[in-house]
Amino acid sequence: MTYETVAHYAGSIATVVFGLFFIGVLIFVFRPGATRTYEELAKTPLDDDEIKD
Amino acid sequence: MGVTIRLTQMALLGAGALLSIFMMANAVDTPFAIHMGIFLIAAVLGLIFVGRSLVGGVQPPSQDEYFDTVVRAGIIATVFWGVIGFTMGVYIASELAYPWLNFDVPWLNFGRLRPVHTSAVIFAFGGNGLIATSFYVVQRTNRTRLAFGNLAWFVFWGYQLFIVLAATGYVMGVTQGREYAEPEWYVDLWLTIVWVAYFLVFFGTLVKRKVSHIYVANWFYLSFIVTIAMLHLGNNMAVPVSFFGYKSYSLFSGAPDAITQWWYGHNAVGFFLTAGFLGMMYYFVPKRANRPVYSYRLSIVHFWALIFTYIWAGPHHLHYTALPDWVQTLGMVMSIILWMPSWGGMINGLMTLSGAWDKLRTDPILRMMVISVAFYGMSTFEGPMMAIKSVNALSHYTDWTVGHVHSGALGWVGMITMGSVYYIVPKLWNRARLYSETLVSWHFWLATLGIVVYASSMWVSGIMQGLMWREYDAQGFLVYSFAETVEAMHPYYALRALGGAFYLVGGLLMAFNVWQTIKGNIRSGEAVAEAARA
Amino acid sequence: MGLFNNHDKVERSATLLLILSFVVVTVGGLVEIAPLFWLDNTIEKVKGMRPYTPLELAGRKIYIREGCYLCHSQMIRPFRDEVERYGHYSLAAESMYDHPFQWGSKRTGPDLARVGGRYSDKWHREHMHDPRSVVPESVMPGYPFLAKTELDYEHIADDMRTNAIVGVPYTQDMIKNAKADVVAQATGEDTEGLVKRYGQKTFGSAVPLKARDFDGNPKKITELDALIAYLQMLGTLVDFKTFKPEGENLR
Repeated sequence: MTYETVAHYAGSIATVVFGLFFIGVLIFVFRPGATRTYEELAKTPLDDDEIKD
Repeated sequence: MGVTIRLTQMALLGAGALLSIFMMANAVDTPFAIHMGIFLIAAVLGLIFVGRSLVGGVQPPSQDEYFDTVVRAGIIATVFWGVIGFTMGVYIASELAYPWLNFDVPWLNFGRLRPVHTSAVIFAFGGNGLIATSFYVVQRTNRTRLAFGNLAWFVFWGYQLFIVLAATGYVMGVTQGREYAEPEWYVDLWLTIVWVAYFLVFFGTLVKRKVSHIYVANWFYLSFIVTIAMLHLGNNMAVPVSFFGYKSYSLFSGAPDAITQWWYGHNAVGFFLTAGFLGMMYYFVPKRANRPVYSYRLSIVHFWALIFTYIWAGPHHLHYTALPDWVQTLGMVMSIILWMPSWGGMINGLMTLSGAWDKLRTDPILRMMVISVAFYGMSTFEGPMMAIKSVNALSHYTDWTVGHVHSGALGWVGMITMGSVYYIVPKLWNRARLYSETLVSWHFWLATLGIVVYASSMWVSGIMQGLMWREYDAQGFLVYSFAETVEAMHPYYALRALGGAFYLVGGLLMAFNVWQTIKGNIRSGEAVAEAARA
Repeated sequence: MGLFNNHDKVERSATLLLILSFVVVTVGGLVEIAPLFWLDNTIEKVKGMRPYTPLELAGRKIYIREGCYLCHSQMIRPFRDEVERYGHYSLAAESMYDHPFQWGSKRTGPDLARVGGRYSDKWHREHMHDPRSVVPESVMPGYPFLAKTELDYEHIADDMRTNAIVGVPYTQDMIKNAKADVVAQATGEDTEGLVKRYGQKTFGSAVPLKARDFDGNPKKITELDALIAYLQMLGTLVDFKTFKPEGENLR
C-alpha cells in the first residue's frame, strides 16, 4: 500500500466507516426495549439532592 | 489509615520541594528558576496544609454526603478567572485599536498577553467550570461521593498551579509557539499529572456509582477528559534543550507539525469547549427547567456522532496551505457533516424546555442557558460554512475567524457556564436563592449585547479585510496596500473592545452577585417580588 | 432478540464506555495524520533548503518568544492576490526544519513567509523601534528593548544539538562552531567558516548567506541582530527560477 493509494481512498474509506458507524448507533438506540430505560434515564437529573441507595 | 495517607502525601510534597530546589539551583535561565520557585512555594504550602490536618486530626468525612467543598472552590475559581480572562481580552482588544497601550514593554505587548487571555478564558475560566461542574454532576447523577478522597483537592490546586505557571510563563516569553498549547514542556508534564488525577477521580466515581446506567452528561465529560489527555500528549511531544531550562523543540516540523497542532487545536474546541460544556448542558438545563431531557435517544446519537466526526475536522484550519489536498478535502467534508450532530444537540437542549417555555419569561438563569444553546446552534452552523474551502479562502487569516470563535466562546461556553454558576451557587452554599435575580437579568442583557457588538464588528471587519486583500483595479493591480487594510479595521477594533467591555461588566456583576449570595445576603425587595410571582 | 440480550452494556459499564469512546476519537486522527509522517520520509528535498544558522535560530527563538506568529502568518496560499502581494506560494519543504512550524492563523499584520530581503536592515531597525515611524497605520507593538538587550547565545549549541535530535541535519562541525558563527554572522567579519557551513555553494540556495552588522551597532551583538538576521533570510532559500512545481513537494 503506497502513500498515493492511501491518499486516494482516504475520503471514501472515511465516508463508509462513518456511515456504518452512524447506522450502528441508530440501530443501537432504536433497539427493542430501550424506550422505557431511556424515559427513566432522561429524568436522572431531576431528583438527586441527597445520596440515596 | 488516614495518618499513613497523610504521611505519604507529606513525603511526596517534601520530595517535590527538594526537587524544585535542586532544579532552581541548576537553572540555566531566569524564567525557569522563577517557575521552580513557584513549584517550591506550592509544595511548601501543601506541606503546611497537610501537616496541620495531621496535627489537628480531622474527622474523616461521611461517605453519605456529596463532596462539595472542592466544587465550591472550583466555582469561586471559575468566577475569579473569568473576570481576569475577560479583562485581559478587553485589554488586548484595546491594544489592537490603540497600539500605544502596548507601552513597548515586553510583558505588556500583545504577543505575550494574547496567550494570557486565551489560556485564562479557555483553561482557567472554562477549565475550572468544567472540573467543578463535572465533580458536581458525576456525584449527583451517580448518587455517590467522589472517589479517592482528597485527590479531588489535588486536582483543584494542581490545576490552579498549572494556570499560574502558564500565565507567568507567557509574560516572561516562555512559550512553545503553538496556539492554545503554549505552555512549555515542564508545565505540560505537570498538567499531565493533574489530568491523570482528574481522570482517576471522575472515572473512579463512575465505577462506584449506585445507579445501574451512566447518565449521558457523564459520557460527554468522560470523552472530554480522555480526549484532552490524548490531544495534550500528542501535540506536546517536544525535546527540552536542557532539563534545567524552559526551552524545548517540537518533535515534528513543518506540515506534519501543522496537522498535529490543528488536530489538537480544533479538537480542543471540540472536546474542551464543546463536549465538556454539553455535559454541563445535559445536566443543568433539565435541572433548571425541571423537565426531563427532551429525547434521551437523540442525546446518545448526538454523543457518538459528535465525538466521531469532530476528530476529522481539524484540517479545515489549513485550507490551501502546503498540506496535501486530500486531507483538506476530507477535513472539509467532515466539518460539514459535523453540522448535523451539533444541531441535534441544540434541538435536544432547546426542546427540553417544551412544556416549560413560560419559565423563560420569569427566570433569567434559564434564559441565560437557553441563549447559550442558541449561540451553540449559531456558531456550529457558521463553523461548517467557514470550513467550505471557497468560503475559507476569504475568511482565513481574517477577523471573521476571531468573530466566529467569540460567538462560540462568549455565547455558548460563557453563557452556559455562567448560567450553571448562578444555578449552582445557592445550592452549594445552602442559600434559598441568589442575592439578586435582577442583576442576573442585567448580566444577561449586557453579555448578549456585548456578543452582538463583538461578533458583528468582526464579521464586517473580517469580510471587508478579506475582500480588500483580493481587490483588483481595472488595470489588474492590487488596489490596497496591506497598511491601508489595517487602517480600515480601526473603527471595528474599537467597537470590538467596547463589546468585550460590556461582556466584562456583566462578568463583574456576576462576581458581585455570587459574593453576596455566598455571604447570605438577599437584595432588599427581591424576595417579596419573587413570592408575589409564585 | 438474542442479539440484544446484553443490549445496554455500554450504558452500564464505565470501562466499556471509556474504551469505545477512546477508539472512536482515535480513528480520525490516525487516518489523517499518520500518512503524513510516512510521506515526510519520501518528500523530495527542494534545492536550497538549509538549517538555520545559529544567529537565525536565535532570532527565531525571539520571534516565538514575542508571539509574532499570533499576528503574522508564514504561509502564502496559491491565490493570485497572495502570490502578487507576498511572492511564490509556500512549499511544504520550506518549513521542513521548522520546530515548531510557524504558519500562523491570523494576519493582523502581513504574511512574513518571504519577507527576507524585502526591506533594508535600517527599515527593520526603525520598524522594531517604533513601527508607526515607518508605517503610520501600523498597530504593531514597538520592540525598542531588542536593540538594548544583548543576545544570550551562550547555550546556542545546545539548541542546535536538540534540533539535530528532532531531525535537523546539523553537523558536528556546525554545532562545534556555533558561537563563533554567531559572532561572524552578526559582525560580518571572519565569515569564511560560516559561509562554508551554511553558504550558497554548500546548499545551492537562491541568494548568498547574509552576514553583517544587522542592528547597526557594532559594539555588541543584540537580540535585534538575531531577529533581523532571521527575518532577512525568510523565504529566500529556494530558487524559484529553477524550481519545478511538478516535483513531489506536498502539493
